[in-house]
Amino acid sequence: MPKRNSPKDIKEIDDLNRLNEIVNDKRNAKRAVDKKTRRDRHYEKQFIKNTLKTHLDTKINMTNIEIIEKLKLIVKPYVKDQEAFEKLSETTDFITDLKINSANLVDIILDIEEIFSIEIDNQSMEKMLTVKATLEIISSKLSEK
Amino acid sequence: MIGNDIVDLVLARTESNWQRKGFLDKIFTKNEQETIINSNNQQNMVWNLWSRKEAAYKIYNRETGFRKFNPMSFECIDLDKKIGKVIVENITYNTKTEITSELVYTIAAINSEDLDKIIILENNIIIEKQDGIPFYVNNKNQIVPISKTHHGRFERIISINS
Repeated sequence: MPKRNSPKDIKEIDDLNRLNEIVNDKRNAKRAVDKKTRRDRHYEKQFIKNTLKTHLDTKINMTNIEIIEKLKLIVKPYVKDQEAFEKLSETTDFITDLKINSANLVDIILDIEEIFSIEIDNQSMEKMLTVKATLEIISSKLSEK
Repeated sequence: MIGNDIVDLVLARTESNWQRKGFLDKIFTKNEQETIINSNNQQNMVWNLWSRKEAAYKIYNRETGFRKFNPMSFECIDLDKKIGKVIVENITYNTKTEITSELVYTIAAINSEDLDKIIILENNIIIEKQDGIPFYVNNKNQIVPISKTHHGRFERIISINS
């Protein structure tokens, strides 16, 4: 694989487990480290969005399991406790279990709005601390569409 | 009651893109957004306001028992004063914020006098929790409520010196 990837390479990958390996920028000392991390995460998100959008286009009524699958992909780049992420269930708490930084919770909410094409008001947002609450809000917003 | 929040500015740069579309709108009120836009260092102002909201939220959460993610409902005022304020649902918290090139750090208290009595504890004390309020047992066997914050390279545990 070339040292520098592009989002085009990413589109061709089916196996999500390889995501980290794919997005990883292997150039050394070419850029500041923080810039590189941000770029890697940006690519990871772009890939996830591409995959999710194609799925959503073909699917109108999603089951909760399907929503959770998509939610997992959205949340993944921000998770600090991978072990808790492996065991993710409806009762999982984004902050206390997955150790997600609260500023990144804003990113998750913006990603959800973007990917599901819904709008999340502040009243809904304040409840979105667990998978269960988030699931309920997504499905109710989807049914309003 | 007290609360504190620290932001490692180096880590914040990689973790969050505050310039992302919609990001500021979800967190900051109109007035706060204006303050950010007019600031000489917009990035620092974003985390300055954020740490105030988070420190105040910690007290709010411990006091009311409510958990909610609604940073917009916590409004920061008196930013240029020595003691700032964060207002949520008619409750006012007093805050003190310190900014260096590496970090932003805010302490919040219900009583403004408590802000002068805050002491920093060793990072190795054993922290327990009761009704959501963290505390430790000091060498005189007294229960001392604390507040702890950790982000990136920095961690601070504080209590009120009584």
